[in-house]
Amino acid sequence: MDTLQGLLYGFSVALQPNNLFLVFVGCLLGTLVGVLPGIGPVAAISILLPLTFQLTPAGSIIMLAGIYYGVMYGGSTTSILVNVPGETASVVTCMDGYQMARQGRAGSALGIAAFGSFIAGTIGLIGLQFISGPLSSVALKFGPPEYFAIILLGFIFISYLSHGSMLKAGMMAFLGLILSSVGLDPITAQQRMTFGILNLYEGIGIAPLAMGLFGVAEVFNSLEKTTSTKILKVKIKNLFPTKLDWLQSKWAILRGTIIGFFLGILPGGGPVLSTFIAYGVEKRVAKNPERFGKGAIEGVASPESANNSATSTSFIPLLTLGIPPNVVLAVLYGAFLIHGVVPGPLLIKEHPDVFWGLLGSMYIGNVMLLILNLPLIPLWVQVLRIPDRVLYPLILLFCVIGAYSINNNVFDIVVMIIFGIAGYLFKKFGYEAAPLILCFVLGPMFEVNLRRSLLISQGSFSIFFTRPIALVAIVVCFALLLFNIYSAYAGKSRPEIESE
Amino acid sequence: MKKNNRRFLMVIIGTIIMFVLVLGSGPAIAEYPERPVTVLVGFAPGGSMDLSARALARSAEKILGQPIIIENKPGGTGTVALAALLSQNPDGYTLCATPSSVLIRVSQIQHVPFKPLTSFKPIIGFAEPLLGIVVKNDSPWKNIQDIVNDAKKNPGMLNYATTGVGSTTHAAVDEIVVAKKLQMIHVPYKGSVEALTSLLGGHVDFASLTSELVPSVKSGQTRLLATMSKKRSPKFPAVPTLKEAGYDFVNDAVFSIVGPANLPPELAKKLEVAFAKATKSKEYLESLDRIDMVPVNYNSKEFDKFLRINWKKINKHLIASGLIKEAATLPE
Repeated sequence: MDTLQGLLYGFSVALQPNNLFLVFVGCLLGTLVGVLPGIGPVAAISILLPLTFQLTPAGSIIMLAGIYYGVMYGGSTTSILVNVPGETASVVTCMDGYQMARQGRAGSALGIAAFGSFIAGTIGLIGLQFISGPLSSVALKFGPPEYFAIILLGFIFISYLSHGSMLKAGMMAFLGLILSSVGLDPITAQQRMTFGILNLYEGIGIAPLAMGLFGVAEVFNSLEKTTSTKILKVKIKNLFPTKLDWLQSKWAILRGTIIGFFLGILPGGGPVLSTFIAYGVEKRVAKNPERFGKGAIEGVASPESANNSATSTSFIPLLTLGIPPNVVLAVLYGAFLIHGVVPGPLLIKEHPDVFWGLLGSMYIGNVMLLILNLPLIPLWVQVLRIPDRVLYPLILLFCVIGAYSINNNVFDIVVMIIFGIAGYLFKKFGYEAAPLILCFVLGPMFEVNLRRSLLISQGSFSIFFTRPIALVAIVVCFALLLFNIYSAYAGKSRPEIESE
Repeated sequence: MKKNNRRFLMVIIGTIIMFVLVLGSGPAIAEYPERPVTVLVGFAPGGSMDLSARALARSAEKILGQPIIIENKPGGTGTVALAALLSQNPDGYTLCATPSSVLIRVSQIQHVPFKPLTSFKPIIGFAEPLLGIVVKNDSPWKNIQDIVNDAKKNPGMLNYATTGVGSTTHAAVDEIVVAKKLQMIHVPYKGSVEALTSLLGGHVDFASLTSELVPSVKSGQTRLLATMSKKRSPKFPAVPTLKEAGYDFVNDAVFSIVGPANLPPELAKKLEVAFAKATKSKEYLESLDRIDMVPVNYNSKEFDKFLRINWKKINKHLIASGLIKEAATLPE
């Protein structure tokens, strides 16, 4: 069966009424889970797993996968509307999406996120369909030194994630690194900075941290504004992206798609990392980067595209190698096994209905999500009409429920509130949370891959310069740094440098 | 067809109800065993501990006559759930499903707020992961002895991946290293999947893994050199155990159900009988087989003994390997 025949067969499986309905249920639930903060795809899929036992293997996998990519669609909604990331992969979207909403352009932001997601998701699928074989062998070439070099490259993007003082951004970055090192040492299993608190043994959770720094901080911030209730609410300008919006974001969508496409394949890399890199790249290539952080539509379009194409391609290692590249797909991997289907090189031969049916359903699901999400935009925009004194307590309530639901643990609520207070203070004194979050995400991967590399090379740093992928990434890092220094001296200074 | 459709509809309705329930539910008050029993799991949903506990729960709830609810409380390498169990009433409505390694291995490395051997009442040991040592399919090694020979020839040159420092998979390789006085480089990963990925990419020479190794062996990407159960695995009857290969090592990570130590004996007995019966059901055995777990059956007494013997063994090994100077938690 060649690829096109396979796909036709896949559509024939996915278009069976039962399966079609399951795609719809998966996408709908995914959107819901994406919108609700805290409750992520991992929890949703594992809760629903036992209920799929009655279904056919293809049907249940189709539905569970629908939840996963549905979440990536829905995650941006609350980021844009109320500055609460619905999903870790939507943290970056808060930065410009929320600003757009405050300028009355929530419709544009939501629309471009939906269209970008659709385009990126579909391109990712085409990649999954045609070149998954060669791509998966590339993914395996990434050992500890390669990861180290790629993450080093990620750190360079800290400077693009801030629009204020470089010094303050650096301080936040280091704070992020310090926070990320709380918990068990990954190589020696010693505790670090846990102060005997059992709940800190595995470190601080990213979800409560991000919800605190963005959502809860925003709620605290709003308390200051009680006196100014008379200020006119921003008029909602348009419900869908305008022509100008499209012009500004079409290349951003494409760039985001490509970045997500490749980072999605890397086990451990995935959607979250791709959003940060995509945002950084947009700011780097923009003609007037000072617009970023003040409602630049590219800052929404690119990361939202990136996380969706990464979601599509993250299925590649799972389906071709039997390696789940992230936690969500690890749960899905469990679902495969329960239905007696073993993901891996033999999948396409042993269970063509599951493989091609899943692929076909993902094409259909992407279209469905677009149709599902566009009519919701006018509805979502109405959220902004809710008076602050009702809206903000509601946000706080959803954040508290969301934080608790991650681990069924009150401790996560405490963490969220603490970072809410911290986030409020950061904002007041002009420190930005984004570099902190980036370093918090990258820190543990950076450390463990550096140390693993040095274990393998027995302490010699030459390992980073003798392996081609690692070498290229490190050379690019230095080139970027040198270029930044050069442009700063040449007077063509970058905004974050000139502003201090 | 009609029946099929109705079943289909039931699944969908169930799906939605489940979803709503999970967002906010709490147990009601009634007498044992007249309301659902909650089993805490210290690991994230979808992992092997979670799936095994769910398989057992599905069979046991039919025998017990009340639903068993699995509540995931990940954190503290599985110790948060055990600590949470102790804050509940010892009324038999809250139990904990935990790998023995959390009780007797993790608690020696990290300090935990309970006494691993006396704070809990072991009820049953019901499953264990299929642990084994694998190499990539293009490796020249056919058995453990080949690795040992190569390591003797090239001291300090071979490296191996495990699922973490101080884990059972690490201890197994350490047993070989100590017995044959070898020098090899240990590269710890977070879990089997990461370690397996690194092995497939050729970044490490061999890997000591948990059940996640099974699909890769079946598909021919890797080769299994030894398993670590007491008996050979029916899935790979040709592969010897480490014990057969001449090393004194048997998997000490057994998945178990425990209650608080002051659980009334009559309740403990009732639960033990119900769970023991469940472990023999066809449904349970089939579910375990699909997720590549190995069924075992330790009763309460046997499991208590198992914990005590292995505490000492693990303690000796952890100290010998330089990971700890003394156990971080007092056992009793």
